[in-house]
Amino acid sequence: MIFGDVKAGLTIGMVLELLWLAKQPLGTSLPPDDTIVAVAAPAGAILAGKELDISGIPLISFAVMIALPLSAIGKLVDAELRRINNILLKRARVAARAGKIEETARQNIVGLSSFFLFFTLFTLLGILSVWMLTILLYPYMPAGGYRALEYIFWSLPFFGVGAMLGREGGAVVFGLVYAAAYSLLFLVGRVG
Amino acid sequence: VKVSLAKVFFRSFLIQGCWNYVGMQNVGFVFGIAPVLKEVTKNREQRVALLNDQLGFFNTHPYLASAILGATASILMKGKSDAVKEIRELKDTFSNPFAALGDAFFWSTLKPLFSITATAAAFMGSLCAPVIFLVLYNVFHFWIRTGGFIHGVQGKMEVMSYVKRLGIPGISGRLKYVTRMLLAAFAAGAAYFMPSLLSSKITEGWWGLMIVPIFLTAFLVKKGIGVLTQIYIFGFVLIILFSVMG
Repeated sequence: MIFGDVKAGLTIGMVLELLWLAKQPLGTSLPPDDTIVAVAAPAGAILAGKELDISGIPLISFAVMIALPLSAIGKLVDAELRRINNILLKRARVAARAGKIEETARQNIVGLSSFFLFFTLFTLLGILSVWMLTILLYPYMPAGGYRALEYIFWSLPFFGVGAMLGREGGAVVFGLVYAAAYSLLFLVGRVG
Repeated sequence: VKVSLAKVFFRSFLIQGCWNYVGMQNVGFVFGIAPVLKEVTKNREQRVALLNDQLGFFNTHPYLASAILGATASILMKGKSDAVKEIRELKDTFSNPFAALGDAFFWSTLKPLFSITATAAAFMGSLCAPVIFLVLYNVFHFWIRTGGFIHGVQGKMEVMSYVKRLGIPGISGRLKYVTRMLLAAFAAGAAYFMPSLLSSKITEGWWGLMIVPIFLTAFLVKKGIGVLTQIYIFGFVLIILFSVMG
């Protein structure tokens, strides 16, 4: 919305939502940081598109492919910030021993603020890197590569569905419903 | 008292603010309960004892933490001499089961279910898809969070019966089944519309075979090969293939 292309943002969001369907913050595990990719990819694609005077799925797909590794980096940043929070816990314990309720509770706000600050900076860096790398590399893709990027982009949801199936199981039910739904669509399409 | 309780409830949204590897949500818990602590503690010794104890290990599902915060507030407001012990027992009793219930219900069931619903809406061209997700998901989130807190304030036993009444394990099981079927239907729909998305000459009949790569991905994920690795290998091969074929 900020960069003036709601549809591009929604398309990327839709694909990424399905891609990370199987990744959940269960227990104390940290999933890949999909937020940074969801922000950096559309923003980088739109900005690079304005610079290169192009738009469309191949450009969006290229930006997504560049942005995807940011999810793993985001996870590392998240883990590191949580480690830094151990220092805040020590401060909270000192304040607790002195009976200072406000001071103890304040450490939570400090932790929250540092998360907000670091992730804002990290997201801006992500946008900048996707934007720059797309401008630098996209024009040098081999001719057939642009068509391949379209296929890659629209295949991403299927990877997410596959990952979900791999994690949750239920292949028989999935296969039966898939076959039934596809046959139905196919028949309706033929009749229509 | 009501103002303090309202503060505790709203602060419960920030319980993960200082999540750390030693005590996990402990600092967030103190932040949440601080308004009531300030009100009920009469002397320094009592304050130190309660504060120190709240900084022990604590981790549960963030949405159900409000129920534990509510019950803790209720214990504190009764002004009992053994409040420290009672709060410790409360946390020990509820934190692990609530973590398991919350993870299974919110992360593993509701989030995928409403993600697929909203994505299907986006696929059909609805610009409201993100709003659909946020509304559907948060109706359950706020309902259970608020209900948990209100029952928590009424006492420990009330929390237990409230959560039992919700019947989360049963609902989770049934909804997971629905999610699986929706996921399959969505995948079939996406595969069927691939020719129009890609302006491909390959006809609809063949795109039904997309189920094969889906099962292959599932198999590779089970074997420990990450989705990102699979995507980059697939992308690299596809770019080379298309470039060679022109």
